[in-house]
Amino acid sequence: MSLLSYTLRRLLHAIPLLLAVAVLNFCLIAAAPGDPVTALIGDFPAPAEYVAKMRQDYGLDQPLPVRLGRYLQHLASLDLGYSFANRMPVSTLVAARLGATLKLTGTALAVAAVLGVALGLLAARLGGWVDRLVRFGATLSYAMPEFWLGQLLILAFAIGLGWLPSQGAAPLRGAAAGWAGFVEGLRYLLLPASALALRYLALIARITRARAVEVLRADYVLAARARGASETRVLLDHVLRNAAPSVITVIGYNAGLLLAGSALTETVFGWPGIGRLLFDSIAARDTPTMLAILLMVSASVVIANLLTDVLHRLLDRRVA
Amino acid sequence: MTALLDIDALRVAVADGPTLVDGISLSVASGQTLGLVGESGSGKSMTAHAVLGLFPAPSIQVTSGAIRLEGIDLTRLSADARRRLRGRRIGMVFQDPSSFLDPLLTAGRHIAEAFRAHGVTPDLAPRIQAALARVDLPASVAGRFPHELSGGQRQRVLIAAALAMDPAVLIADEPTTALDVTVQAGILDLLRREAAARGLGVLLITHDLGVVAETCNEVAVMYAGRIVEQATVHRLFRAPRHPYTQGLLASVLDPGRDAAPFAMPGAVPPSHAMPAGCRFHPRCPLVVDQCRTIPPAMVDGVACWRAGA
Ligand SMILES: Nc1ncnc2c1ncn2[C@@H]1O[C@H](COP(=O)(O)OP(=O)(O)O)[C@@H](O)[C@H]1O
Ligand SMILES: [Mg+2]
Repeated sequence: MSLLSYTLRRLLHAIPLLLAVAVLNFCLIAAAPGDPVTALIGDFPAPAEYVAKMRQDYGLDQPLPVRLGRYLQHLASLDLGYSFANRMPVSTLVAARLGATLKLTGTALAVAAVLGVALGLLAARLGGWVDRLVRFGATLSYAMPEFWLGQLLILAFAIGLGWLPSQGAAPLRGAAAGWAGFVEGLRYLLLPASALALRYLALIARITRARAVEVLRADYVLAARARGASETRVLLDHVLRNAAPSVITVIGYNAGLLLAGSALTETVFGWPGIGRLLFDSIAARDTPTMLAILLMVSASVVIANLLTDVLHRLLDRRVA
Repeated sequence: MTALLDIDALRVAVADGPTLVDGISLSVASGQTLGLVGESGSGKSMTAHAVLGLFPAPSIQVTSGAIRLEGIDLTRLSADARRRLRGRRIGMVFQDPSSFLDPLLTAGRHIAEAFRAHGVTPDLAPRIQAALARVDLPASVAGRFPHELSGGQRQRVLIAAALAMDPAVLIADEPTTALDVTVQAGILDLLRREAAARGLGVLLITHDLGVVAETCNEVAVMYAGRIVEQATVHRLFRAPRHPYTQGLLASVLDPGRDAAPFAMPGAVPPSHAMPAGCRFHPRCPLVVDQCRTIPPAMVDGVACWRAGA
């Protein structure tokens, strides 16, 4: 089967999966106490008739199957609904926040992948105390939740040393232009990206090290050395290549970890992204926004898994 | 005859542990194929690893002796100088061609690696094709992955990579053991042809006397880390002198004979529990007291107190 037809088939399979996710999310949130109207009214002593009228206006008085049907109908026409809490369409709201989340998760992913692979290779190649240090550090880091690490980083580098900002993605007075603005942006990014990257980095370093140790013992590495290949070439041409499918699988299948971590990190650092929006929308009982974000996260995980499998196949032609 | 490869009183041991190769001497001349035979565990592969300077564990080392390649003692060279000789002056072929090829690289990339490791980077495509042609493989094999090749083709790819830089010496460690009988003959033929046509010196390691008979000029019989007998193939098969060699020959099935092949009792002693005296004495039908205490020296091609007795 060609890679293209495999990809198309997997994409087709993703549609019923995402539909099931949408239905499940909808029912779970419908079963939770409270709705947008209670949140909208808050503690204001509104007359019961007024509340009932509002529920009727928003269609919240309809039975669950009817509401679900209407939700799915809107989804099919790519309409994510309207956020009453923010008084704008959910799509506009999400689009405005997407950039910040991509910047944070993209940076964390890149840092975790590059450093994780480098540390894993180094540990496998050098062995001894370097290996023990990397393994110990990885185990420790993996056990550290993002929100806790985030708060430690804020305490140390923002409050204690005062080196870096701890809240938001840019100064409140607005970002500077050009190069200065870029550097400033990096200063804001550094702490949240580190907090988000660390667990992922630990995971990647561990799998890279384990695979590299295995490959370094392989017969084909001995054969490469027998041909005169240097240790650097052995690492780059054989070890890295043969470790890559496993490393990419771990990276891709744990994309959910990164997204969940992003929600926590954004909340701790006041980062204006999707994760922070999800947190706020839950507090505001903003159901359409909640549903849209949960669906996006599920779709991202499905796509990450698909990309992983396609890349795996590209790297290792033996996978049928 | 000038020796290309000259192994002199080589000793290989595990650090603070047993001796695996105990003072062996061998030499391979240009155009000559020397067979190194013996049962599994006798130290044949360790000898090959010592020549290459690549041991399976860092604790294994050459403890004494010399390995001269074209007159230069390899044991005195720096690690990088040795690396530069590997693949360029010494080629190596291993037992199982499927595990010795990187599953994620094409055949062509393996051969390219041999060139690139020694700074040969221009015109790689024609060089790879020539290397494949040398082992009777079509140019199209260059783009294939190992899993798309047969066992015999894989071994030819490994030989092509080993010969790519035109080494002086090729070490082949059980190159046909993992292959079908029908494929074996072709590979041995190829090695014989390279030795004859290009003056390649071949050290052919095997436990199969049939392979030796077919391919080698000279043969050294190794037992428990020592050479026990060395002779021309013709002489060894006609008149084996060491009881171990006699046992090995008797255990080869002779189709002209009705009797079942003779199986030598016992096995090679483990390296940590070597018997004193002649290491073969616990299995030897001709053993006398002297054999149990004093190791016999190599005299006139055989190391045995009872040779000629
Ligand atoms: N990695 C190792 N560490 C210690 N001893 C080893 C190792 N590999 C092999 N040996 C020992 O070295 C001896 C010779 O092995 P080897 O050269 O592989 O034998 P052969 O190739 O003749 O079958 C054997 O006794 C074996 O147990
Ligand atoms: Mg062996």
